[in-house]
Amino acid sequence: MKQSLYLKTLIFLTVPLLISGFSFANGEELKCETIFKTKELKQAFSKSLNTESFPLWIDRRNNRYEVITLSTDGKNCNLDMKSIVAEGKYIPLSKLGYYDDIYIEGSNPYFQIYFPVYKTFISGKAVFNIEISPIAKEDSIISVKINNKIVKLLKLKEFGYIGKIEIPLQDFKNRKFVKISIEGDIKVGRTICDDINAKNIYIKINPYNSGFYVLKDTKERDIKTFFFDYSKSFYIDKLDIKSLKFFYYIPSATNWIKADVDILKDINIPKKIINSEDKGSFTQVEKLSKGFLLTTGNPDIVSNFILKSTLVSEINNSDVNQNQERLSKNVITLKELGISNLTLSGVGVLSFYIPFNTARLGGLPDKLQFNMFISNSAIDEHDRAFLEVFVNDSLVKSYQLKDISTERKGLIIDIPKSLLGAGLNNILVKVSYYPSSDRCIGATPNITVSLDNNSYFKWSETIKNVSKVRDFLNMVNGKVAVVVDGKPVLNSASYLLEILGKINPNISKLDIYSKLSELSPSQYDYIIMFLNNKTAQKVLNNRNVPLRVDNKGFSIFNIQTGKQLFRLGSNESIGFMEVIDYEGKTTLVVSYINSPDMLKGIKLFNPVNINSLLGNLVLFNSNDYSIYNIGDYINIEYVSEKGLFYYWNNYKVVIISILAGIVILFEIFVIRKLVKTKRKKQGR
Amino acid sequence: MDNQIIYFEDFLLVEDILDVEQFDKVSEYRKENRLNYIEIITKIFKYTSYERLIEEISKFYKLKIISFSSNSPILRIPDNFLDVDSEVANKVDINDVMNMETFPIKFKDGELTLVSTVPYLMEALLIYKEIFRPKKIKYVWTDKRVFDELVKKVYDEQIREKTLEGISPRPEEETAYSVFSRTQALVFGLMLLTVVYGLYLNALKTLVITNLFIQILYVSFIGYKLFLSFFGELDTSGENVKNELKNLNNGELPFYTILVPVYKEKEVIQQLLRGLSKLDYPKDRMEILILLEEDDKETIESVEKTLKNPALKEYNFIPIVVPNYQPKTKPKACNYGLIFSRGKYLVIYDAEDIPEPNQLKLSVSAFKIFPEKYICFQAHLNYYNTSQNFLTKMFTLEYSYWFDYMLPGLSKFNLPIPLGGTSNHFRTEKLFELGGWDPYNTTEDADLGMRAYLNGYKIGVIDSTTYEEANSKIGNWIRQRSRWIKGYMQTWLVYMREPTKLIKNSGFKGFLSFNMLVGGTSFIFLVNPILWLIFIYWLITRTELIRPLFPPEVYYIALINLTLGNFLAIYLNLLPIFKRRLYTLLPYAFLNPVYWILHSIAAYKALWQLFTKPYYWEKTQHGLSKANNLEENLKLEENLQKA
Repeated sequence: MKQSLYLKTLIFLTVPLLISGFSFANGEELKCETIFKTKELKQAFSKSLNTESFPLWIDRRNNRYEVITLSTDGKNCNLDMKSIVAEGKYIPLSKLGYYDDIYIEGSNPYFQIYFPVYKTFISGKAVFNIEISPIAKEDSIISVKINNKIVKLLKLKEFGYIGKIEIPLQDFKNRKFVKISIEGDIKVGRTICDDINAKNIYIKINPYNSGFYVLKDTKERDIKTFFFDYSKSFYIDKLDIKSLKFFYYIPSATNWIKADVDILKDINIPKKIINSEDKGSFTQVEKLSKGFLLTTGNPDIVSNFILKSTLVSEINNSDVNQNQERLSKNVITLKELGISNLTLSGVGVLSFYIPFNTARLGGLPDKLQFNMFISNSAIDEHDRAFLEVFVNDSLVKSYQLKDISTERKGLIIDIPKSLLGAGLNNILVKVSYYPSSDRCIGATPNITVSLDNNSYFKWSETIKNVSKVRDFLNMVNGKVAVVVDGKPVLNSASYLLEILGKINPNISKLDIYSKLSELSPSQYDYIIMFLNNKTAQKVLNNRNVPLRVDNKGFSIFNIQTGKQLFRLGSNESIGFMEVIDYEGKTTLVVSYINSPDMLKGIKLFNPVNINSLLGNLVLFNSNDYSIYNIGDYINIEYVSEKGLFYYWNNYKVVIISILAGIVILFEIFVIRKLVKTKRKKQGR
Repeated sequence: MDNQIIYFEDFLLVEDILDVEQFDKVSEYRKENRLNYIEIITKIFKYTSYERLIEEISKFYKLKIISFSSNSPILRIPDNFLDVDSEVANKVDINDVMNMETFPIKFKDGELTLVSTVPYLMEALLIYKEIFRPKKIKYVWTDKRVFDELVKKVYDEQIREKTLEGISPRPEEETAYSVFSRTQALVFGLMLLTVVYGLYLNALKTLVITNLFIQILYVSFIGYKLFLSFFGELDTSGENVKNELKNLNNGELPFYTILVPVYKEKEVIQQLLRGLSKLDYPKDRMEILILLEEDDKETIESVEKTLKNPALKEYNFIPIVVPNYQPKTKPKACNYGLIFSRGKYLVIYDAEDIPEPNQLKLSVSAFKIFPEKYICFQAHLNYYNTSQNFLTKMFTLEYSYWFDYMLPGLSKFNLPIPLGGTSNHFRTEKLFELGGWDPYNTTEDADLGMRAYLNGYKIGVIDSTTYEEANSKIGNWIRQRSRWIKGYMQTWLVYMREPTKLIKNSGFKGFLSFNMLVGGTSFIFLVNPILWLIFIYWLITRTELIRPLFPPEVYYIALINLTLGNFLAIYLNLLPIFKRRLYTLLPYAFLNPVYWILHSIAAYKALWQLFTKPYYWEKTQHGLSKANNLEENLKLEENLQKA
């Protein structure tokens, strides 16, 4: 009874919805307005960039170019792609993974970001809304560089402490990407070192109103251009088993902006549409009145193309020869992870962030070693400089930089397994440089540190087993089989694969099966199953899994003991995800109880809140979801052991009364027997 | 009243028994010692023989001395030997009777009959004339032995009263007769109830505060002990006493009383008598009062038998049988002996003691060079059976430390000294003034030390050792130690009945020292096992239950107590090892914690008895040493001294 109550309480604990910041094209009627008209295309381009009413389209009508943008007055757009010559997109930094304010600190703060130059690129501008530390002196300077060349130099006196920097993006012929950097030369008074230590010197960049305004052409292009440009949305005209792969591959390949993939429902404005109907082996892109249509004879060919393109599409990794084999099976360089050589100069804290996904290593590594090649400029004997290495915010190693040579040196850092999580992990290499106060008057001495991207990770073995839903989605890699058992689960499969594509691009081979019987588990590293209720019963029952289903409800089992914890019979429909072991392979099962309608609830999940699914079982309906970790970590505690506190709390008054009684009796005894006032005469 | 009486003092000059110079010398000696003229003339200065003087007195006063020729050293006089009017007799205080050696037994038709060892003593006659205004005086002249026996019979009631209520009148609250005063009982009860109420309100906070209180007390006691030990080592007064010893002239030595209370110690009686006989002090200037208990037939027989030995005849061994009444304690026996003592100085030895031969002379020297306010000197105590077993070794270490460091430290800073049970050398007169020992206190010595301090007197330490038998059996050791600790508890309770009065009389320094030493000793032994058990329980179980009781402020003090406390206790025990070069005992200093366990067992037994049998005297059995005969013991002693 107690255990049932316990779990009932648990099951109705709901996790607040975390959906925010993501929107999906849902066919709503868009209203448009013309901002201006011009006869000159060039003029249309340059004028377009001066407006901030993005997204916009440049429409050529009656030999005039109309610049149309979203409006609030309720006019229909009524756009025809055939007459549109260019499209303007706004990509805020928040869409590129910067969710919080970006603080760059020190007297020489430094920030860099890459911008891909796709074939469709016409022109654009980068906009940074920044705020500078109020203690900065007016003669401080902020410089903006493109590919290490200064394109803008701003004096604080003229710029002010809060302002917007606009950098035109143009003339990037033959470049696959450009590096945009913001550097500060902040001057403060004699207290500069104290201010550095107190983190009083900074530049703050707002990620929501900073980003890229891009104007791209809408000429008919090839398949590569179809996928790799500045668009964020793709539409599949027909959802079926074959087209399902696109839901994973498109977001996983377009990794600068994580593109959305949806099912085409309505056409109001031009869209990129994919038709995956089998029409032989022919694959082509054509421009329609309402967008571009990719017709593919064989989705696998396109998918394979996208997959291969992912290597070259990685902006930072453009200098890697995609045909080059890895040095060793269990070694991966920063270069392979898409990280370029990093050099920083300044005082205070200089930080190198090295994100890496354990899925990229093939699983959670048993013994992971980070071999870091680093060099630094000479350090004055009065100054202090430290090198610290953090893994997921935990310090694992530190050095005093004075103690090690200034030449390029190799430092080996053993990364404890306990600090690693499944999926994305973060290594922070932090160089703290504090010049002595007497060398620090007015101007500050700098340190320069370079991190070589030949630095590499090395590991022994990887563990593929995971037990939590979040870990599964972050970790799944290599060869993956997806079983989609029937139409009712197709939608949910497409949605989850799309999320997977956004958070984990490490699946090298994705095979889709419509029947469980066709699956041969041994050929795969991981399996994802979208099952109807009956198949789910077959798969889950008689297996050691947290949740088993039947026709009228479900039962929860402790996977450690195999004991049934409780059974819930219900007419209510519930969708669920659980991680199980299926024929020796770690498998994610997505299914439902009663009606498949409840699978709609899977849309509650997004790339952000998916990381909160820290359990082996997730139950959801259309409004809510709950996470449980059954068996592994949650032990049902029977309050059978009655400790000291139990007795004290329950019998406090009795205990105190007994104690007081004893004291009073003792007191009476003492007064009667041991307090004597008259001595008795002694006699024989 | 016959005006023709010639006082005894006049008789001595008239009959040319003494010349004026001799008379002055004898009178002077009598002022300081409670000896009668006959004894001083014949035994101390030997101006004439006892027989001749008796004959002269008989002839002059026409009296015949009554004496008994008995083979037994214990005289037994029949109850109806004298017709005594006890109302007449009790008109005089026993102390005056013993000072004058004269008491009245009958006053009828104007005729007063007096019993005396010295007839017609002027000081006695002047008093009795004043009391009775007799027309005629009649004397019953007895020797000292008969006189004492008669006094015991006639003044039995007065003696009992004095032994229980104090030789001199003492307020009842200054004895351990009442274990608690009413106020104390109420305050302690209230404190306990406050703790219980605190537990009800906030158990954790109450326990933490209690723990903090305990830890602070503990660390204070340790610090105080260390302080005293450090300065105790610096005491150098012993050298001056030894120099004075060289100037002592046997002919000027005062009369010395040695009190030896014995109970059920027939095994060691022979050793005692022979041990005391080794003392380097004129035999005719000391008396050894062997205080026997009436119900202890075996020891009485043994003493009688031993004293028949002609070799011991020249020693002034006086067996005194203390009547059987409650409480049957050593201090009561000592009080009894004190009434009959006649020395200027008085010392107590236990039955198995072997004092260093020059101890009495050293004591006389000390009394001579130290100011009058020094009323007692404590000799060092140590053991002759040190090497017998673990217990005797630990006992030796403990005593060596106590006497070599603690007592000199207390003495140096003029702090109350809890006297040791034996080898305390007193100015007898001052002992009377203080009222003797508290018969209800089981460490009457510690109590007396405190009382002396509160009366403005001082206690010194002399550099002479009395070798005792260290307890070699655990049961026996616990019995003895529980008695001592119970006595400490009693003493603390007696003087803490009115703390403000104690502060007023002893000063804040004395008050603190008393609490640290007398209160603290019992406290530490009681608290130790609780703290150990908590620590061991935590060590084994690593329970989180205990952690809240030790917030940082408590934890650090507790840590000091656990580490520094243990280290210091061991360190302090190492000090006498190096001072006395007892290197073989070195490893045993490190076994102190084991010894403390025994202390704690004894402390809890003491606490139990304080409430159940407060006056019960846990008898220590002597004669358990392997060195059972005196020769062996002396040899051991010799070896020890050589070492």
